[in-house]
Amino acid sequence: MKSTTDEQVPAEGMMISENTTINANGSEPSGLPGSGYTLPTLSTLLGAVLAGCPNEAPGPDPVPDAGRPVELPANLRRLVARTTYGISGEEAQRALDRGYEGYLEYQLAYDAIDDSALNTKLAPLTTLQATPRERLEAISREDFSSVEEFLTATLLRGAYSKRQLYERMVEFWSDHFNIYFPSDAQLVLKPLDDLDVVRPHALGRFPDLLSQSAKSPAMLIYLDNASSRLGAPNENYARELMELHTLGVDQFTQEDVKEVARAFTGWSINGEYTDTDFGRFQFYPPLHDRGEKTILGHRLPPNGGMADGEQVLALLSTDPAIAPTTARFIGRKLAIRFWGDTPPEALVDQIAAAYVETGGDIKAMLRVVLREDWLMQAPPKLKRPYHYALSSLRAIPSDIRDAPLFAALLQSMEHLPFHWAPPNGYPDTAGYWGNYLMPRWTYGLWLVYQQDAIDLALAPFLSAESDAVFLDEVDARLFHYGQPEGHRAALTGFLAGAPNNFFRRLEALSMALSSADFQWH
Amino acid sequence: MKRQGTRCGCEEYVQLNRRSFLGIGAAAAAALAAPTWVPRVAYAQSENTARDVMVSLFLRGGCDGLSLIPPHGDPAYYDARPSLAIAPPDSGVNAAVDLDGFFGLAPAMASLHGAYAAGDLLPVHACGSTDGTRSHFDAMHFMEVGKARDPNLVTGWLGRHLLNTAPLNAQSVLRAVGIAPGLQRSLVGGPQALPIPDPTDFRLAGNEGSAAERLNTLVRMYENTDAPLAAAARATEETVALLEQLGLDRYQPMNGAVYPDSELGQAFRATAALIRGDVGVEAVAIDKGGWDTHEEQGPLDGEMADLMKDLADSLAAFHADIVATNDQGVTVVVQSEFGRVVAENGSLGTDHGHGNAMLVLGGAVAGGRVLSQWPGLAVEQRYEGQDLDITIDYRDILHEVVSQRLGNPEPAFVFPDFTPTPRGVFG
Repeated sequence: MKSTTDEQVPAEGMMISENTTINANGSEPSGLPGSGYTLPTLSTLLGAVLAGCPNEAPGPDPVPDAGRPVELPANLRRLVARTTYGISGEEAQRALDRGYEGYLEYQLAYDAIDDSALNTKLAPLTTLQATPRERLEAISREDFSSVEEFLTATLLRGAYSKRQLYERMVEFWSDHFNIYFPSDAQLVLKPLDDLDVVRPHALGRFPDLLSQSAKSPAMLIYLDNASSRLGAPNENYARELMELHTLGVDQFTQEDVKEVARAFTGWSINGEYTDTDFGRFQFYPPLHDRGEKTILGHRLPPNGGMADGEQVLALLSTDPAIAPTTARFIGRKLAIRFWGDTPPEALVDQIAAAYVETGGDIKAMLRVVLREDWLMQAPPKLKRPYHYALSSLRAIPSDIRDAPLFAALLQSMEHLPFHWAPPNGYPDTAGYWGNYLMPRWTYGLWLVYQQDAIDLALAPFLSAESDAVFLDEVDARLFHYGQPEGHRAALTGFLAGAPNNFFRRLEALSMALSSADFQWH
Repeated sequence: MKRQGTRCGCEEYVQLNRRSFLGIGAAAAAALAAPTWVPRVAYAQSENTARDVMVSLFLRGGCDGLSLIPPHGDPAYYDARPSLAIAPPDSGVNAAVDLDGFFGLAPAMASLHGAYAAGDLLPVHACGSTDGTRSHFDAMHFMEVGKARDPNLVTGWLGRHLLNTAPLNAQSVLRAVGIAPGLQRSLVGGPQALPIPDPTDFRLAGNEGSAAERLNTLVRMYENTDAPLAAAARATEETVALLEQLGLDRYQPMNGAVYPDSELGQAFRATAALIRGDVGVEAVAIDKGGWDTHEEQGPLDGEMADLMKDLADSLAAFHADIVATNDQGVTVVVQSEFGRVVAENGSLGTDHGHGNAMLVLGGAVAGGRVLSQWPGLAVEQRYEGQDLDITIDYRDILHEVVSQRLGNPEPAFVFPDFTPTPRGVFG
């Protein structure tokens, strides 16, 4: 074999490809048996190169291209970037039509947004509403379709729902009330937590969300409250409820933890397989500690029963003396997610004030952090890998055809939804995510070379009449007319190595997707 | 992780495969002649033995230490495992290789006996994390962080070690390598720590012919970006260049060492090459999965025997190549998140347990003996009535490595809220 340079013809591309392998040893299991989760093969990964010929877009059924997006003023560009998983041409037009306030309110009133195109994509997923028993029965037969379809639905919603801010809030709360999906009973229960707890309340009121989360069978199992009972309280949920879900660290004592644990004794799940309510929340009075409790200075009288736990939740989320602490904790997390890694205290204060004024209305808090004056001062925010991957599918019109393959790729970037084990949720800052670039550099290449997993509208790039026009398309579609000059110069230099070459353009496009400016939003 | 076929059974479904796509191009790299042949002499014979390089091997899935290092002197071992126990030494085929009259090596591990006889291998038994979790993921997380159940501690113990210790080589662009698609938790927080699934093949995926040009173009597009991306881009470029220059795939082991042609064997070979390359790599974290043996464990001629042979052969080759040649300071620690239940289950396997064995390998190790305060395997001696109890905290071992061999000025920063008990790992 000789070392190759810039090949002009597919034959040389094939030569390279045939000697290219994903897994040098091939000895590891390639995924989740019986569930269709497999890693891409060489032919899927480089299928476009093997099958394609120059100046022709790969893929048997390319998604239609809608043309270059409209150019947005800076404030709208920022707003759309921060409230979605990436600016699509369609989204840009909507924002331009509605203006800043109009677009924000449109996103907040999510249930009024017609999402029928997404629903068509979700229609083949028949297990999304399945009961705990149906899920368990199927998994017992090694039928993992409910597991796969839950993840598939999540990815499709992220990429294609018009309710983008809502979906981003679903992700926010999925991190906040983290539950680790691939363990124990969570294969059955986490999808129900998503269905019954997170999605109904993601843009609702925080106290309602908290209250439902406390009764979520998935949470009861994940943080061990399901086995907490009179005489043998388990402190795990009690601690995380205060430390991670409401007050934040150091805002309570170990004595509070013990007392809160007592208050939640008997909060468990129905384990009777034959019951219709199998796998649902159940309170067991005989397992409840009926004694008096004192929590954060408040006395809970004896014989409170299930009201003990309800009262704790109310204290944490609505009590005039305690809830402001929760409001600041939630406010800071929202500010970090939507504004930047080190938000000003004044912003956190204002979000917290909105919480207190409205009794924990999530939309009210978002209206603060997404207000134009705040957002226009915000520093660049690094896309987490999941966000990065979805944003590429929104910048280039796309259709996910093999969601499990896409999921495996997200896992390789260490950011597949619901796959973070500890209860604190996936990290949210550049300090954590910004050091491992090779996966992001590989992702862009994978995306443009594969053809089996995701249809991409590559024609505008590959059939542009010149490399200069190709770069204009990149600038318009990936960077919304804001690609840094240095980027363009770097890509121009690269393309000059083999003008108007199919492979060069694929590689240049992959690098545009992997470039620094596409990592921030 | 292996999944059982019943109900949610042993809950964890097989995690989506974490191999990334970084490995693209390995075969091509091997086939193509490199433009600049790095001569053999490029590998320094470093005399710097002031500080060891740390190699941390994590056996994921809960390795059965009672098969790895069978306590053949404890009769309760044979009572609890009528089918799976490894027979006492000198009892015919498939007998344990004796270590000290009480403990032995599984026959599949026989190739490691030479390191033990040379005094470089120290098996530690009845050790682990005293946290009672039986969750793989929690247990791994706690161990790699170096502390259980502290949501505010997210950095790894090795990462913190690198953080508060001056670099071995001030010019180093790469102080730690995680041989994994994402940095292992143990290395998180460490400066100049990169996840590199295959150090012999850390380069941009895709067309080899344009890789250098593409890398250069990418780095140019990161020049003016915000921290930490710009620095990370440079580190990635420097590391690609460093590893290409070293030419790890052309590395020639010393002392006739032959690494298994397995993922683990090749990870150790790459580690040896990095160490001999003498470029300032101070820590390498390696993973080996597959130890979650709920069914058909096969410690003699089945699944686990294969795993153990791969483990032993890889360690033995590394011992011959790096440790026995005595010119490189290295400490290898092998651990797993928990051991397995003393009694075998109904499926010729073992379920998640508690106490376990560790292995420490290195020239400075006071080996050739088994370090243990054996609690016994009789039912009344077990943890929660079912498991090997823990009499040595895993951090006792790591603390001695960090403080005595890695030159750490403040081990309490590495293992917060922990008071170690001296164990004499290094005599």
